[in-house]
Amino acid sequence: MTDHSESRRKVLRGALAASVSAIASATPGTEALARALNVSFTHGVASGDPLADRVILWTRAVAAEGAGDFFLYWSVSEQADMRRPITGGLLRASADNDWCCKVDASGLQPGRLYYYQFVYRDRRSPVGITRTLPVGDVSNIKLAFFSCSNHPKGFFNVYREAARRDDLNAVLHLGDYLYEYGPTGYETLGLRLGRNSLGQTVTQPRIDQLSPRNEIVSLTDYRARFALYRSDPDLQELHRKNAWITVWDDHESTNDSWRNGAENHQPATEGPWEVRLQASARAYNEWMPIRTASDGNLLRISRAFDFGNLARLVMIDTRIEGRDQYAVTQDQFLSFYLSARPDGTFPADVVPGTNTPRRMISAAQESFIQTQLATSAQPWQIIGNQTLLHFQSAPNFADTRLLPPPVRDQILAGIQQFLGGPVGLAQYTQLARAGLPLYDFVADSWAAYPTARTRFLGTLLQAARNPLVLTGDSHNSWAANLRLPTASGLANVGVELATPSVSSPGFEEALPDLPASALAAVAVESNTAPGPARVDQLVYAETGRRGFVLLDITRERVEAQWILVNNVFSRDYTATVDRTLRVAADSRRFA
Amino acid sequence: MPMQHKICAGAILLFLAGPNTVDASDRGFYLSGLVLHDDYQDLAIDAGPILGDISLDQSWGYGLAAGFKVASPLRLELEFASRETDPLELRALDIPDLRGALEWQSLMVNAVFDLRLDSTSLVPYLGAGLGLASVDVDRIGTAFFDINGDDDALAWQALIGFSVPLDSQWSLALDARYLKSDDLSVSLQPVGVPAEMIQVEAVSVAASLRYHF
Repeated sequence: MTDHSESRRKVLRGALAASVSAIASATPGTEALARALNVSFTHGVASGDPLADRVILWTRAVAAEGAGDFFLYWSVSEQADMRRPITGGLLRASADNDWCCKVDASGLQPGRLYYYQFVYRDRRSPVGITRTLPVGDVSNIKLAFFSCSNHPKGFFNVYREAARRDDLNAVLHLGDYLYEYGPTGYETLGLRLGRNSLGQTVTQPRIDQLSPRNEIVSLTDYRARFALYRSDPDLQELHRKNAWITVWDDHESTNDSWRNGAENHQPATEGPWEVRLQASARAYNEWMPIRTASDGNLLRISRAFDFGNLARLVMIDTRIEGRDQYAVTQDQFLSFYLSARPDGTFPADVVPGTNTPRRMISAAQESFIQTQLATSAQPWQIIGNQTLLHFQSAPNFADTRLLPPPVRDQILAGIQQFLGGPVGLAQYTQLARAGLPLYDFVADSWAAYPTARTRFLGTLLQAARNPLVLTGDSHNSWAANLRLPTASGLANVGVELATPSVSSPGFEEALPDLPASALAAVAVESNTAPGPARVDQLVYAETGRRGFVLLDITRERVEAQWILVNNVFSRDYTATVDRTLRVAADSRRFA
Repeated sequence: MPMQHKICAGAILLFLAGPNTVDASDRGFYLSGLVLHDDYQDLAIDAGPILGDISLDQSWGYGLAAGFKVASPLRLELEFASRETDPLELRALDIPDLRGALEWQSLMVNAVFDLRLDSTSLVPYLGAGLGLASVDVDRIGTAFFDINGDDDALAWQALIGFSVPLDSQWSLALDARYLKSDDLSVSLQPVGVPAEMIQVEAVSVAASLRYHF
């Protein structure tokens, strides 16, 4: 090498070197990096967190065992054949990141469809498709949202159905992208009986594939579980074809998690919660096409996205970032509502020993949400939320007039069986008649944080013009008008649209002797009629089938379709639109 | 048959045809200036994740040579040539409009055999050279990555052509030549991965004007 040309290049490389210093400083022996490796793209490609000029691109590139770090070439093109890339670069694959490779591809044009690919020598990943967010005048967007995909419980026919579409601006996932349980960790009554209320034989068709074969606790465990889920071809295809915007719920860490613990975490045997939480967050960050917070905090995932002048999407984290412990008993839960004052305060809703209202989200996140809603000039404000926000009382089967007595009695017998006997049924009936929810159903949701819930609804009422709350978690389909008592009367706040699960069991398996259609009808009846604790209005329920919700948004209205599949126990299925609901702009309620 | 093979084969055939007598006007020492038109072979890049060929544009070069006749029909030349070309496309990745440049200088010692043909004043010749190539692979690539580095490597060339005496001191020569360097050590930037097996190959047409002392 000659010194003169080297110094010249140093000058020329100056700007570039600064931007890649992090890469270069971590570069191991470059000779090792140059070795030709047997590289495979084992889990497809994904994109996510689109902005107007950038999007996260993801792949996983695995070399033969024992290989060190290596680099991939990535590129973005406007052509499906990947000719004439408009941007690209080199990207490190490392065991440090479980061979997951992410890049924030910038310099893109707004509202455009792009193709992307990763290359290692003659090995090429599938060509992914992604879209940047539009800016300016936007007349229409389409979003599909999902939650609760459980690999052992069923095939991802819901993802498969959605992947058939080519018209989505983005896919939203509201959490429970995976489940932490081992082979016996998630048993339902329907599974024990081998049947559900739809007359289907209940199995766990993919339980033999479960990996690892234990409840996931360590970083290695979480990575292996992600690898299992992302090996699913239907999930891979939906990722490949769409930009995803995701948040976690509890099962990405463990069941009913909160900032300092979880129902399904036992420190005595599973170690410190913080260690497990960090492991789960790290694996999530590695495997999901999500943009890491600017401060590197893997536990901060609330963020906002603008779809031009049509809608602002605010993804919130009600699970980890600021959540206090859930109501640990039914008595504690009921005391919240039974002690509620007419002015809407909940004196019983305090963290034991602190006398401060329990939080669902931190004050900082509340401020972030308030700011995002208040500064949104768009007609629609969409909140990507995890657990149910509307207050849903238990269906009152004892007094319903929708069902003939034999059917009603059959249902009550099923509830008695589910709740362990006559005492349980009596308590249930009392709750239903009082307009209160079933603890088992809502202990982990917004309803169990009534002060925080009221405050959040107040923020939606005051700061948002047309809030649409998208919700996952419950495995079943719901649509509700959110309302809030105010000094001037009951105010319409907005609407909640809850997606059913992708494959996690709904009430058809939790209550196999309770006809799903009857449950849904009585649930709507019970949550529409006036009642002592009833404020919100349930306008739609479906509790027997899995699916997703498609949103078609224009300036004048939002049209929501609940698209459900009839089966997750085999790959054969049919999909139907079970319900279409509309919300007119500025109405803050379903039409 | 690749062009370089054709040139070599032609040179061998011409040599086997046998030299007759050396041109009487051939003198001991001469200087010549060269103009070269180069047609490059693709650069074969093997650098970490990048495996492919970079096509190079045709280009012009120039050179100087000093030679003397050792013994009929052999001439020895010390030849300096400088070339620069632009990259076109990284074929494997379908990336057109590459940036950067390939600049290289060669210093060759050529052994040239002049072959006299009785029927004409044209003096065919063929030769071979061995020397050193100093190659600067100057950020050939894209805004996303490039191949960069400079290195010196052994080089060899074969040439075949003819000269025409213009008068007692000047002659004009035209030849075709194939030039190839040994492996160059450069790297894939900005990550610094070594790039292997980069060799510069070119088929050139050279026109030279000689002054015989």
